[in-house]
Amino acid sequence: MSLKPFEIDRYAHDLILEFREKGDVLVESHKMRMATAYGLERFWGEHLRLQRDSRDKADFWKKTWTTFCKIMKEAGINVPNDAVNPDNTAAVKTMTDKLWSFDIEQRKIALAVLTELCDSMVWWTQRYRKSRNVAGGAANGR
Amino acid sequence: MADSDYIPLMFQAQIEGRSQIHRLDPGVAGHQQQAYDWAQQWQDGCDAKNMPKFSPNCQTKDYNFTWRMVTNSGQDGVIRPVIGERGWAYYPGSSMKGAFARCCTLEQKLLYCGGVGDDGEIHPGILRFHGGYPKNDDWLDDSLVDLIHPQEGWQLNGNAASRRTVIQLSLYQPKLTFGISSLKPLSEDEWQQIWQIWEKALGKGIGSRVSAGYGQIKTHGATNLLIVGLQGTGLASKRIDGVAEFRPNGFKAALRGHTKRLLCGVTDDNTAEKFTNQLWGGVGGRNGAIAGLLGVAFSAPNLELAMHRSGQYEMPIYDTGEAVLNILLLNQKLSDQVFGRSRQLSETDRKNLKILATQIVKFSMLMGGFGKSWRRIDHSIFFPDYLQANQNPAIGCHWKFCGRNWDRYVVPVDRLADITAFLNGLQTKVAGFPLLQELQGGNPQNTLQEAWCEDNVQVWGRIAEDKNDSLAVRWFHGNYQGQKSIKRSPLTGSMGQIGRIWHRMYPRYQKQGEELKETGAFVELMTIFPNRLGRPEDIQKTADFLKFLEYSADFTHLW
Repeated sequence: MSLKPFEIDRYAHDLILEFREKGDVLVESHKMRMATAYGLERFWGEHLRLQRDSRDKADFWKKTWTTFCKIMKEAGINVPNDAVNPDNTAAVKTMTDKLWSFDIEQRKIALAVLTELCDSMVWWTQRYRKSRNVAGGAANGR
Repeated sequence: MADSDYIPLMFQAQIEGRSQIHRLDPGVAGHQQQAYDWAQQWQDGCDAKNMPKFSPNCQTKDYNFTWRMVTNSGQDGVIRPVIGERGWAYYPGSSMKGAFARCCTLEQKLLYCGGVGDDGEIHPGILRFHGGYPKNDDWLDDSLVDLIHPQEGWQLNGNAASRRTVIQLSLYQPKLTFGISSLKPLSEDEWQQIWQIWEKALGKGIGSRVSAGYGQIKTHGATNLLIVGLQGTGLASKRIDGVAEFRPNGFKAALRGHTKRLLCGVTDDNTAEKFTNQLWGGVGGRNGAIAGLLGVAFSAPNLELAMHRSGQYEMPIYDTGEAVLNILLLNQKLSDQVFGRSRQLSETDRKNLKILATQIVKFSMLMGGFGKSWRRIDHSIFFPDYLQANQNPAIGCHWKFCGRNWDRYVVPVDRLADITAFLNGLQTKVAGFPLLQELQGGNPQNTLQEAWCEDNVQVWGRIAEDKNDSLAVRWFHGNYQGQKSIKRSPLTGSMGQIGRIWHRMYPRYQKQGEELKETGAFVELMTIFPNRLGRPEDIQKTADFLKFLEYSADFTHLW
């Protein structure tokens, strides 16, 4: 047996860097870390909920989920990742069924990995997040 | 059903088709709303047997809240209490520290809560705030589901689109135990002082929506602007599951609504809106929320709720018993969104606010009442036949002053002209209110349906000998003359349409020498906002009725 690096931290780093330019979006990573406590479905559903208020935030959650699925795939676990329109309740149900029905041991591992990914993202957020308070007042008028 | 349908709502995606607890689904029966399932799942999941305990080195104290309280968790897309240890509802220590610090002097704040000292270094405070937990497991049987329905647009202007209901979850009359500990041993005296500061914080209300009566205990200390003793009867609200609840946020709604009506009568709509937001708070839109100066708290220890049954109707009614309405001064700062610059209230400002609040309370009590159906008199008192003989629903409310200082709020009526004098004086006082003057608003625009200006409203009155002597109440339910009727017209209103008449039986107090005496008689008042728009036959109907009042009835045109 040999060590296989899954490079979770590097994926986290790249995600944060990618979304760094999109206004306030990085704070979502803290919410992602919190959402892991509620399991895969809550986490996955968030990108659909956010589609109405903020495309960027929705994209950030979705991209994080896709990255997570990619990591899991390398480890030999297939996490469902259907493209779902939030208005299509049947498609939502199909996806949630898939999330709650794959092997429970695999689900536990998946959640642990997601938590690890989010921890790393929070770490990078704290380093890469642009300060809102530039000397002389608020930078973006808020 | 698939596996995922059995997952507790907390763990479901917060989207349509899964978990949507903030939304009231109109197609679903009351107690089947998802919010009830969510709350039940939380309550079932809570470890009821193992109450979280504060450590022995912690000082604790219990406080009762007079109505609901909530501190928003900021999660789940719904306003709900924070969930603490073992699933218990929790008032966070960080919130407690914040509320405590706001009631400290600078010196106390540095000592107890920490901060930057004279040396420019950050020092930790000596106190640790452990938050608050419910004292016992009663709250696990209460309904946490609570409604918010902003209806200012509806009440003032008949705008049905502005009526929407959202759900929040809040604790009902909780008893919370709060814990504080200290890094250093403190004397008994010092602990007493610390708890006094905490009581000051509680007196301002804690958590969310304190200006509407949430998170309030019985005493309010320095936050108190006015104490008004009140007793009222009328129609209670129903929760979505059909259970009765007297909701003290109705006081704020009424006072705020009257403030806006009065302001729209003396200045332009935009200024009226801004100033109403300054007084009572507002969500402000693009410029952010405005923290209001005023709030209400209500305590009715002897409140009774019952069911009015008649025929097919069953509706909850209340009798508050002797109760206390507090008008609170929640904020010491004027908002820069309103005044262009933020500044502290001066002592004069506070005095003036007290005068204005007193006037608004006097006006509210003179012209109507509080809570549901406030535009009508309580039929069970003034028209009991209506409720007995027919199979009719209960209508209206009746409020009177009680307790100490009631004479401060009464408009004594020797002659009907006293009411004219009061209303004239009120309008002058509102128009000349110094803070409003600073805003230099324009002329009234008279666009609000219930704007309080001369050509938009008429007040008619008469002296009624006793409670059986209400004339107008019969006109709402039959003909007022021959075949003429205003029943079910846009003037009187109907389901889904706000009427244009308020009807009040105001207890008649007379001056006898220096003293005010309750006479047992009433002043019957009708406040009418004649239609300016609508179908010609409806406008004619109103004109006919006003003519009738002028020539044939014993009502006098007072304003």
